[in-house]
Formats: sequence, C-alpha cells, structure tokens
Amino acid sequence: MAIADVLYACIECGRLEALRPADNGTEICSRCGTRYRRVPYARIQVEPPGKPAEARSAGEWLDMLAAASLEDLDPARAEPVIVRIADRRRPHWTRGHYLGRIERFGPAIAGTLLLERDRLVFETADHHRAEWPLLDLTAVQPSSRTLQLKLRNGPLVSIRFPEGSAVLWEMRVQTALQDLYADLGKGTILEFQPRIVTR
Amino acid sequence: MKSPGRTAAYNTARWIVRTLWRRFGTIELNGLEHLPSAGPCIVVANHQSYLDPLLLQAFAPRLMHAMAKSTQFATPRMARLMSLLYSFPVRRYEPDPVAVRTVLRLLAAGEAVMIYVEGERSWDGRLQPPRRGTIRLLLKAGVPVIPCRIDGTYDAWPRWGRLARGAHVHIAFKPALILPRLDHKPEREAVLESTTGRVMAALSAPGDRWFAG
Repeated sequence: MAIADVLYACIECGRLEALRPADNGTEICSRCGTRYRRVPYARIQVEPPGKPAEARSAGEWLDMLAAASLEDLDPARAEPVIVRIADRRRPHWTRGHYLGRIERFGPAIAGTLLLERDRLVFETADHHRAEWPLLDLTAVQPSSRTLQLKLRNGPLVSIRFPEGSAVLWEMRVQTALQDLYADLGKGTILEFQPRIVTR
Repeated sequence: MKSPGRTAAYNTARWIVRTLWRRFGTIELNGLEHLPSAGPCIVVANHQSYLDPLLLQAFAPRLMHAMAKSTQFATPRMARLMSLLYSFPVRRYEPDPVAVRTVLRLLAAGEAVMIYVEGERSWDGRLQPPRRGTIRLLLKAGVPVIPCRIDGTYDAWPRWGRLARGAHVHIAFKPALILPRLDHKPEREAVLESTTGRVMAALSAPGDRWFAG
C-alpha cells in the first residue's frame, strides 16, 4: 500500500499516476519533484519544491483532485499490470457447515492493460492477448489494491497496477461502462456490484 | 443450529489483540448497553481499516460472526484463520445466496452477525455509499439492527498505509433500529431507500454525506 494508491495524480502538477517511492517512506512526483509523506492522524503532507509543506486528509486532497483539470483522464498508453485469474473454486466448510465456494487464483501474469471504448485488452510480454468486452463484465469491484472484474459465464479477474492506482482504474472502467451503456441506450448504471444494475 | 460458543483459540486471539492494542494505542467503547447480550441481532458498522474486525472482536463483550470477502479465504491458511475468528465468506461480485442463508441460519440460532455496510474499507476515512444488498438483507432478516460507528482505526492504519501506528480508537454502538421483517421482494424494494437513509444516518459523522446533525 502506498499514498500513490489513493492520490492518483500529483496535487501540484496534476500528472496522473506520477507518485513513485522515494527515501524514508516518502513518495515523490516523477515530474515536478513534489514529496508526499504520511503524518499523524493519517494526513498526507505535500511538499512542492520551493514551497511550504501542507498537510490535509486524504479526503480533502481527493476533493481537490476531483475539482482539478488533470492531464490525462483518458489513457492512451498501455498500463503495466499483474493479472491473476480465478477460474476454479473449492468448497469451504466450517464447524460442519457449508459456507460456499471460494475462488482459487492462478499464477500472477505480468503484462499490459489497455482500455478501449468497448473493451479491455490484456497483453503479456510474449504477446499473448486476451480481450474482455465491457459488455461482458457483470461486476466491477476494488479489492485491497487490485481491481477485480467478473466476466459473464467466465472467471474473476484480479488486476494489480504496480505503477498505477486501482482507484483511478476503477473510475476509468466505470466511466467507460457508463458511456458505453449510454451510447447503446441501455440506461444508467446504478450499481457495479454484486452485479451491474441499470435504471 | 446450536450456538458454537467461543473456542479456546478464539479467546486466545482476543487476548493477544487486546494486549497488543493496549500497548500500541488506546480504545474507548460507548453504547455497550445497546448491544444485546443474547438473542439475534445484526451489527452494521462502517469500515475504515483492517483493524476494525480485530478490535471489534477483541473488545466487544459478545461474539459476532463477521461477514468477510471470499477472496480473504483464498489460501487454506487464511481460510483457517478466518474460520477461527468466526468469519464467513461472501462473494461480492455476484449475488451469493449461500452467504444470505448463513446469516439467516446464525440469526435463527440466536447469534449476532456483523456486516460492514459499505462492503469495503474506505480509501479516505469517510463513509461510503452502502451496499443495497446489505440493506435488503436487513429487511429480510427482521432482527434488531445495531449501528456501530468506528473512528480512529483509519488514523492508525488507513487503507493506503503501509504499517499500523498507534491511535485512539472510538467504537460507539447506537440504539437498535427496529426494522420490519419483509419476506417479499416488492415490500423490501418499497422501503429500501428510506431504510438506507435510517441506517446511514445512524452510522454517519460530521463530514459524511448522510450526517443529519
């Protein structure tokens, strides 16, 4: 976990997914050099070069990001990701009671993820490619620092963003789904889990 | 279903968490009189941190069966640990009738069930929108609903934090909400919005969307 997971853009310069680990538990914007550190009461202190430091809650910083015009909210580049697919389940029993079936995730697969208008494209380093049409998604959910997608009649796909933010990617995928549903006249999405529900 | 009672392993885990937390931070519990000492109830809480279930289970006077995301049971070791702590799995990415049946079975046995109404930890500490399925479940169960507001665990270990730090944690149980038991879906849907408002108002704090003062 890191500040970059929640602050998906630099407060100072607005660059998306710019925060990188630095020394002493701090993180630094790869473009403008602004430093970020956790201070008491889970506040985040932002130190732009040559300016005074300011500490606020993550919620206050997120409100500022939401109101700001950011550099790129429509990614054109493929994002490095690590994907794990749960295509099997095992029954789970406790104290003699059946409590359901639990996902079993397969091995981690490194690759890149690209969001297109109507699909997500995952490609591994050896050019194996998987396409997940947005209309085949039945649920979108964040989980710890991953984004999880459920495919219709398919597996649960867990995606981790080593250089990016699961919060940002959740927003991106949800926005793309809303836009696609609107374009197709399928209504407004009210809920993304446990299943996509429209009005 | 017979009430399981606390196992020795569970009591040991509670003792360890209580001892560690008292060295690490402070804790204040209010409104314990609102938590029934026996009989079925559902405790609905906000979710700020990994610490929430540990501290609630360790310091609450009553055993509560906690609903937890199924992926936390993914490895056999974690599945054993979660079971030891009286957690049961729910799949959040599709309707999960087994989890609903488990809740109703525990309530029928007179147990207390704990559910995080937001469905996941908050990124910024503020109360998030509730899962509508949880509100439907409250209306289906028709047992006393005890709102439980947790503060301070976010300060200690926010979702984006690498490590936990000491903090003052405040857990407040609120007066029970008495909801009707509605067996039919149209009845539940008719009161879904108003019930959501009641539950979220009881859980909210200044700065949250549902806070009514």
